[in-house]
Amino acid sequence: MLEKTVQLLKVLKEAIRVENDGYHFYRIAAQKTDDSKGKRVFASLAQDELDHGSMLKGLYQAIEDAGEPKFDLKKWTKKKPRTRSKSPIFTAEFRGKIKGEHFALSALRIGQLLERDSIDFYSKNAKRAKHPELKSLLNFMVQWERDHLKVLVDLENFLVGKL
Amino acid sequence: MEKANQLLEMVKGAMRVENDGYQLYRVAEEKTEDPKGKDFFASLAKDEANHMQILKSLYESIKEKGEYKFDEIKDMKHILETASESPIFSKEFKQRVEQAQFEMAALSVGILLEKNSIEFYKKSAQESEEGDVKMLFSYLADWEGEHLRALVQQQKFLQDDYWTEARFYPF
Repeated sequence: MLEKTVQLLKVLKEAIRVENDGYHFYRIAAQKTDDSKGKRVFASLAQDELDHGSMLKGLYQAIEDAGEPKFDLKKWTKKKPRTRSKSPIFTAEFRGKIKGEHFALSALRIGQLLERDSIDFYSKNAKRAKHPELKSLLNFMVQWERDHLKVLVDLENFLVGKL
Repeated sequence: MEKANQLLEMVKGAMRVENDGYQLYRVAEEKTEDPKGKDFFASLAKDEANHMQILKSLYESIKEKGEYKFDEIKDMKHILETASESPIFSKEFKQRVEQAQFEMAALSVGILLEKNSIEFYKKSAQESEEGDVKMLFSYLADWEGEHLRALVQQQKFLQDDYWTEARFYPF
């Protein structure tokens, strides 16, 4: 296998790990959050990360099987983010009763750390990538994780009364 | 008074950092099936709760008296001395590590949180003018450094087998 292919597989493997962390974290956050709308947001983020992970795994296997870094980017980037800033937010009742030490607030902040870490990972590797399709794929992921970050920041601001 | 307010903001930020860690480790403890893994996350949660208690006392002292009484904080040193040694995940757990997706994610998220805490405490220590406050933040930065080392150690213990066995499950 070419060194270039090995490098590509390494980046994809790490990307799958990043998505796996997000998926499991948001899944638990959805389970633990009392608020119905909050649950939907975390579940939607979990589903996005699951989609990313599946896409990256499919790509990993396709490259591993072919033994060379050839892939059709359009095929792998068909899905669109389901979680947007205007997606359901926490209820006003929930905001009224939330206190500083609530799990939901911590989950939103931890989610932001995760998204920043993902953005950092994808940006760094997009810059390094020599393969143009891979570069585009990683930039596509950067944008998607930025959307997630914005959702989480908006939600935290909503809950602490800044919005 | 402005100085007191700045210090209050800093302590409030520290309480947020500790609370995030506490919430994560408590959920991780609850969700982990491995008994040694449970002890590991419980020990981290307990440490963060102890830090919170100290910071809360500091916050209340500044808020009520407009100044901090470090004698009270020093009296709480016994809390800091109870830091437990990190137990490790069991060998049995390692053998069925392909089922450990949540635990692996919890370790990674914990590592991210600890790195963030260390950065926050180091910055706060640098920005603090009072010697005692500086010392407290440096102390907390060191402690979170210990947590980070423990988490990385656990991750290494499980990681190699995890990826081989799991073949990227659940994707």
